[in-house]
Amino acid sequence: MKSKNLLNLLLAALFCPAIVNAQEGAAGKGWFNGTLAPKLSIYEYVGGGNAADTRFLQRYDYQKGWSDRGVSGAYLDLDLDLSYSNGKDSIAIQRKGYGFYTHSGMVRMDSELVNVSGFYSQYRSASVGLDYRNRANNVTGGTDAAYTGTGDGYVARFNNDSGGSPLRLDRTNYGVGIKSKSGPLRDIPSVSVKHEGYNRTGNTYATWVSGGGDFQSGFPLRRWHGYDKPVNELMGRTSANFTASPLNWFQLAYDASFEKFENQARGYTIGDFKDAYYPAMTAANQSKPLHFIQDSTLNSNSLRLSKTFKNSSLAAGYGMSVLSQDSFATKQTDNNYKKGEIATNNFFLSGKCLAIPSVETEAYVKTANRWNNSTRYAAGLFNDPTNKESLDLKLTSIKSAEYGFNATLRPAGSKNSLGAGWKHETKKRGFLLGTNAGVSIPSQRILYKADSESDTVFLKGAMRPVDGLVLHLTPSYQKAAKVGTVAEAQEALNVKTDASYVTAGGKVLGFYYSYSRTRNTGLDYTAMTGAVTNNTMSQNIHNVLHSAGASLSAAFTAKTNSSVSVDWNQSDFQNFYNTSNKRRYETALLFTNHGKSKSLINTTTLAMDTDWQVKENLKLTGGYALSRSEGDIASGLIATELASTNDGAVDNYLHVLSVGADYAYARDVSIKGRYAFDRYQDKQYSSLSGSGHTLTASLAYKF
Amino acid sequence: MNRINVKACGVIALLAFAVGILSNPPAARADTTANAACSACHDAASSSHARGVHGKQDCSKCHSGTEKHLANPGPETKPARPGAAACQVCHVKDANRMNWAFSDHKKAGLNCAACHSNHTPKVVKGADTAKYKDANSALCASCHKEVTARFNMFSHHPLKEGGISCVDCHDPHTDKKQALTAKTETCTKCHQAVRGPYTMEHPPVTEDCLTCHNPHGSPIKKLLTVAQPALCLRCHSLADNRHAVGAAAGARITGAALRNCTACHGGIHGSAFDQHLRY
Repeated sequence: MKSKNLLNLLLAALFCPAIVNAQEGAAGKGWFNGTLAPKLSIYEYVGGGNAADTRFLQRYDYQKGWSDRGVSGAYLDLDLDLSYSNGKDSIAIQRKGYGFYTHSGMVRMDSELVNVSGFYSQYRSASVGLDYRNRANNVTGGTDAAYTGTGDGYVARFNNDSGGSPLRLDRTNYGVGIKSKSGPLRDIPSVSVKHEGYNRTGNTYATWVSGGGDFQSGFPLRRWHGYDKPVNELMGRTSANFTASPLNWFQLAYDASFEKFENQARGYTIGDFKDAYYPAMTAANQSKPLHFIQDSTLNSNSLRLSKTFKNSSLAAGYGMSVLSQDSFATKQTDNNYKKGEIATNNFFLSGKCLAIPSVETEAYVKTANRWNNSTRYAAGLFNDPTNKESLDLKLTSIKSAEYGFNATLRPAGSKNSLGAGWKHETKKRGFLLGTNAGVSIPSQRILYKADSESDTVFLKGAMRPVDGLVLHLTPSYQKAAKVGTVAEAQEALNVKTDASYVTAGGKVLGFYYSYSRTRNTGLDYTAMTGAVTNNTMSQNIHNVLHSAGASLSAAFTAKTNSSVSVDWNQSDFQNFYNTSNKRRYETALLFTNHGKSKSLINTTTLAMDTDWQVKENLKLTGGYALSRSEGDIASGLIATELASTNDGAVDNYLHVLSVGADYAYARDVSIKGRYAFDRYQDKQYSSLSGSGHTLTASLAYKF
Repeated sequence: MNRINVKACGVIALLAFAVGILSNPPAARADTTANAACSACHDAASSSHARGVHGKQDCSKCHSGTEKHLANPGPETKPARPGAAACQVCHVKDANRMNWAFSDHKKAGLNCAACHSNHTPKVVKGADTAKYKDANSALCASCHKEVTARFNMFSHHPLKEGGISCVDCHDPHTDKKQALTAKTETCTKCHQAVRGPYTMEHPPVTEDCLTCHNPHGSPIKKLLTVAQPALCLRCHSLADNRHAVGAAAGARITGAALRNCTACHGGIHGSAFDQHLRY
């Protein structure tokens, strides 16, 4: 609260000169205008959890009132929008408040020479609390009875070590920048410098499982844990831009950025969770940090050039960055892990020209490279030196290239266009794989390959057959000669269509439909030595996405504005469920295919809004939004195994109903009121179901 | 009051000082004779104009035909509305807009006025505005309906709630082909905690965040494109001797192991000390 008061004082100080000049403005020397809108909000959440837990409706909209209660409360806030100009210099200040934890502000000052701007924003989220509420012991069937009690299974029992800390995160962003105004307006260089950053604080819920070698045998029930993980991150980025137009012949822009990330949160080690059940744990294992987050620095530089001719344009750019690890855990330095570094470079060259009248052509090439220059696996880093388990996989480099060509026909005098294009993409990965039999994964046992190569062709059509009607059609087809990951498309077909129509009366109708089908059957793993059956196992992925929507915006009467939109999205995903008798680096490995698992989810959203200008000084608003998701996220054997849990399906509704009134009491004073009712209903996780009420009233003074 | 607030206040105080100096003296005002002639009739435009970054420009710089209109005011001599070419007289030299010729928005036939008002920031009219706490995002949503629908899903980036803006990730003035940052840097410029460098990288994280996440929204928690375990089982086979009841080959793998892979493999974005990404 003190910080808020201080902020208000500073805002007042900031406006001293403007207010003085506002008086001058009254004498015709300047303009000072704006809006001040204090407001009062009252809220209450009903159901959806107990006082200690995050409610679903709080996940992105965490409110807090004068009291510390998160369930209900009231708070005062202030929106302001102020500006001053004397015809030469201007200043604008805005602040928008949505509660103690969500508000933002900006200030911008323009003079003939420079532009100075600053901003801040604060936002609280609590989505991590939802995951906590879905922790294994909280969900029906989350810890299967087959595991509990007897010590069977590697993750026999979940141990909740949470201290009950509130699980939410605050992110405060801030920034300030100054830019010389000479660049765009004159033929001399411009320079801008800005500094921006954030502070992210709070708590998340983190889980971990110890390795077999971390604890001595006999305590399998203590392997699986969850704990409150504090977050305190600080990021600061200073960047500079230099833009020039040498000899007024071409444009040049150089950007440099220095970014520092610091993790200031307390770190935990496995040893912090050592208890009476774990009398025997080696010192080496006790010192292992959990979810270690290092400080890091990112240095980036880039140079861009562009030239626009009468009928053509040319652009090129080159950028490079180095990400360096700044802080190391003792266990890393003790094991000679002393360098963490990722280097990248990117290059592009693009050109377009009106080769012949009405036909615009474009060609481009783009490359992106990444190198991992970090220390490779060091013995003793992961496990005790006596334990030689090592996956030994390191992705040393990724080199990708893309080039393509497209042409667009736009007949003179026509508003229609038709484009066609092609692009070729390649990616080459560098691996370092272990060679120790029994402790390293052979390359034949991973679905991750060195090379990817694909071609894509596409069409882009835009038609305006009658006045007010615009149609777009964009089909594309991709075929891969080589696939490197399961996420890549061996074959893909995408079609995007949309149409919009504006009637003579101003009604706007819109429609879209998109279809995407991706298939990848090009990857398999081989058990090799020791395998008896199922020596080779393929993965088979099919992914089909549909999305469609329709919208209408119209003024059905002279005093109303209304809009309605319906959207539907379907995700249909299938892949093989494969298991193996052992871990993939072990000998005598056997793969087993359990058939396909399918995930099919439909999401429908509906939004309706209307404004009604009842009288010249009274406007009523109303709106309703629905989001509905349902479907099975697993089928086949996985569904059978998930039968006792909530996780086999998605089935939820989110309703938002709002009504409001805007009453102009006088020319410069208006009163606004808004009531919103939110309702979330989850049929799978019924404990998340709940409601929220928010009532906001504001008084706006405009001058 | 934490360090950030101290810094923020310091920044604002510095700006206050700067404004105090630069907003004086009145004598420094531009010769606005021509503009004054315009504002004699166009009062609403001129007052809003004064608040914008173009406030100090002559009207005729963007509105061609102003002289003719001043000589003979009337609708028949109304100056032209500025097109993209008029804007680019100045802004083609702007670092943020120098690749506009290659941008997707340009190719779609849009001009500057589609998103910008010359006088003040363009605001979407109608009820859509109330749904978004960020005005820029409301503007984007007025066209990009398919993406907008995803922000109504169970899990989404908090765009409507004011936690993020479309332009935090997307540059509307250029095209991805002119980007000079790595694919993952769009995400890690805010999510630095998961960028590493890691001793043990998880390749899909290294390749592209979109391998597992849909940044706009998803019916699956944590913005996942597909629910666990299917998402993970695209690449991974489950080892019976670690995941099955009794840790026996071919034994039953039950809900605890299948329901949420990351409940155990919590270091899914990479790890410093565990090759199985469990911490």
